[in-house]
Amino acid sequence: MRVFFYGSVPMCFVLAGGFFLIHSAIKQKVTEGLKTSLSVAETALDRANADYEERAGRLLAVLSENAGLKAGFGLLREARRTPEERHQVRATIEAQLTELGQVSGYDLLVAADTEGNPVAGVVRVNDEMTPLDLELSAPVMGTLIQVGEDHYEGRVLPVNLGEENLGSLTVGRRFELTPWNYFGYAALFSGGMIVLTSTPAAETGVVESRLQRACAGDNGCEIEIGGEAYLALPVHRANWDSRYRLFSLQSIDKPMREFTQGFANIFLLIGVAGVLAVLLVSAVGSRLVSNPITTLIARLKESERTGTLRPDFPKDSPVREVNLLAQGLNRAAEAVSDSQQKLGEATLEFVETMARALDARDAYTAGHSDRVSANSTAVARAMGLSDEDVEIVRIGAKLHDIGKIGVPDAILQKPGKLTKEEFEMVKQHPQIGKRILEKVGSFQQYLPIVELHHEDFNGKGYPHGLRGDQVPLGVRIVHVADVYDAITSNRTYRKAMPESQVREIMASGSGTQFDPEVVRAFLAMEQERRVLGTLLEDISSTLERPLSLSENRAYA
Amino acid sequence: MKKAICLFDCLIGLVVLLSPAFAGEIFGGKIRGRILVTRTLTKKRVTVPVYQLRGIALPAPDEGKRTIDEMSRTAVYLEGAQDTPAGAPVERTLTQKNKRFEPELMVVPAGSTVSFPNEDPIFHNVFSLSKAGQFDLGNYPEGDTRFVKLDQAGIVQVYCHLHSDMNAAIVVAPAGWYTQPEADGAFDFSGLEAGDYTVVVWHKSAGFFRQKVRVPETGSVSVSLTIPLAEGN
Repeated sequence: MRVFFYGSVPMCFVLAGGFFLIHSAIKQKVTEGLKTSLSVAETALDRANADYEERAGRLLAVLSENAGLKAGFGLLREARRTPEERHQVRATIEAQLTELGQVSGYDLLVAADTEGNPVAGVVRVNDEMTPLDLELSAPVMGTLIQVGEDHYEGRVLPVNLGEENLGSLTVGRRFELTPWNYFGYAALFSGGMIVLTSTPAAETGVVESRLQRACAGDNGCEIEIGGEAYLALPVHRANWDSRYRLFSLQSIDKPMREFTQGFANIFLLIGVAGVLAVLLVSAVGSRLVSNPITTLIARLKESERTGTLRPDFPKDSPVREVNLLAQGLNRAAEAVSDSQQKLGEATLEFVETMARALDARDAYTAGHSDRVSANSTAVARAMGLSDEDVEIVRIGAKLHDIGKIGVPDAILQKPGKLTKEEFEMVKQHPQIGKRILEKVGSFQQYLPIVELHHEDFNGKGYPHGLRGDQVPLGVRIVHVADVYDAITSNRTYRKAMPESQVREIMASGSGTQFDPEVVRAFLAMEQERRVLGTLLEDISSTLERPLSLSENRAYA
Repeated sequence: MKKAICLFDCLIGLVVLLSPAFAGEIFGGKIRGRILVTRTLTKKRVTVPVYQLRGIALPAPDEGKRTIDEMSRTAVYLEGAQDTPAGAPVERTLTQKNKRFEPELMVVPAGSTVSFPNEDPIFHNVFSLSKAGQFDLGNYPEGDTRFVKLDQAGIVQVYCHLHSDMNAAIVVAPAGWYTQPEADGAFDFSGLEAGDYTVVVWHKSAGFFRQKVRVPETGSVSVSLTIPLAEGN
């Protein structure tokens, strides 16, 4: 699963990076799109405006061809007047302007002298033309005319009298932001301060300061209004002077949101699908690779536990490397088992050699070991010991008297009875045998048989005087077989005992010298053998060819 | 008989000599004056600019080739420091011809009567809003004449309701000394009694310009007016 992590983290980074890149690219596109649409609208409006101006200009000139208006202008340059007379002159002009206003529909009409100073004006208030009080609020003339709080977009018409220019008549329409609100909000700046805006009142101050800071140049700029990103674009109006700037505020977030929504969904989908795919692929991949490896490891662990290395590691996984590994392990296992086999064989050969060594010393002892081994093995099998234990008994019995190598010939082959001291020396042979064999690591399992095969069931044996269960069962079996063979073979000091006596001696030793269970099994086996032997004699006598039981003794 | 004719001649001669016209020549002071117009006082006619895209104006049709004669738009009269005899009332005519007034500037003494004959084949409606003479003569056709008596001194600007470019100015002088300067700006008044007078120059566009002058018992005094006046006057 680490693979999954390593695989997915870079992918997540790539996805996130890609998302942000596309997001910013789209934002740029949106911004440009807004700018383009605004500039197209501007151009269209300007063109329409210019068109209108051209047609209207010539018509509007008619407004100023008004004898009464010109007469009013003329009055201005007659003698110096008293305030009442001045007021009267102004009223005369105002009357003319009012009439013109009602006819033309303009919201503001201002008469100005040749210097441009307003001399009289009327403004539409609630559909009525009312005179402008020039003392209180003289209109600020310019491309946008400001009267008090209101702004008027005006045009100036010259008032000519023959060859002479008397002054000018400015007609103005109230400047509305409504057409610019189509795009979002709009704000009119005069000398750096907002004078007219459609932004909500709460936001206006913030918007003003932000625009002042950010939007000095001619390109648009981005500001935040009420948590949404807005693009502020300066609107170019023909004939406007630099004092006034009109900004159109369009929301970037709205179109962005539509794009982003769709994109975010797509990206999310891609991300989830990608993660799932990676998960799937890595799961499948890891399964392909790790399963065979896990199998191999499990096998190794098992071998460690059981101590055997079987050369049967599976090499059929879909991963080639794992198969090669399995093959290598198989070869190693084969080599190991080869060596083990050789070792086993060597051990056996060694055991045989030891037995032969004993044989070389004393013909009786050699045959004796073989016979005890055969009998013990038969009894052990009959008593239901496991195959391993039976094998231990078999080999242990072959080696049980190996210690006799350490006993001098003179005592071993003495014809008569042994003295006490001589007997003591012979009694050393179990321990001597143990000492000989204990250095061989793989013979540890036979040491009990070698050392303890003279222990009695009632604890009166030697060398340690162990009793009953303190002596392993295999050893007890060998003990019985050992004594049996001793009394059934010709010794240097006596002949072999007859069968009935042998049985008696064995039975009497049950419970004292021998384990009763072992004795019972032994005698049963012996009985069977005798019956079989008698049968064979009968058959051989009829066949006129002697069959010896000894050839078949070790049949079980 | 011969002695009577001679006496009669002498008497006529005396009468002639004593008439104001000669009296001035012989008895009174003179003002010799000159008006200098230093710059254009009349603002030229402005055409309505036609804006094309982005505020580029079309070239205007050729206006301004015609120069304006400033001197023909000035009138000069005297205001006396003391009681000056008023000028004798005259009868003048301000004709409407070719949709213009002729002449466009007229100086009359107070009390004069001006007639306004219509010599155009169209109607004219002559009016004035000026304080010195407010009148509206109504529409009247060719051949018709209306009369206005101007008793008050001042400027009477006359227009036509029907033709907004028609205008004329009548300068009603308070005293008997009034004139229009020559083309070079020279003017003079003679037969003046000694004393302090004010020379008043009225320009149709620029308005009033005044300068005080002291007239001697005999001889002339020169006065020169530069309009527009320097600061402080």
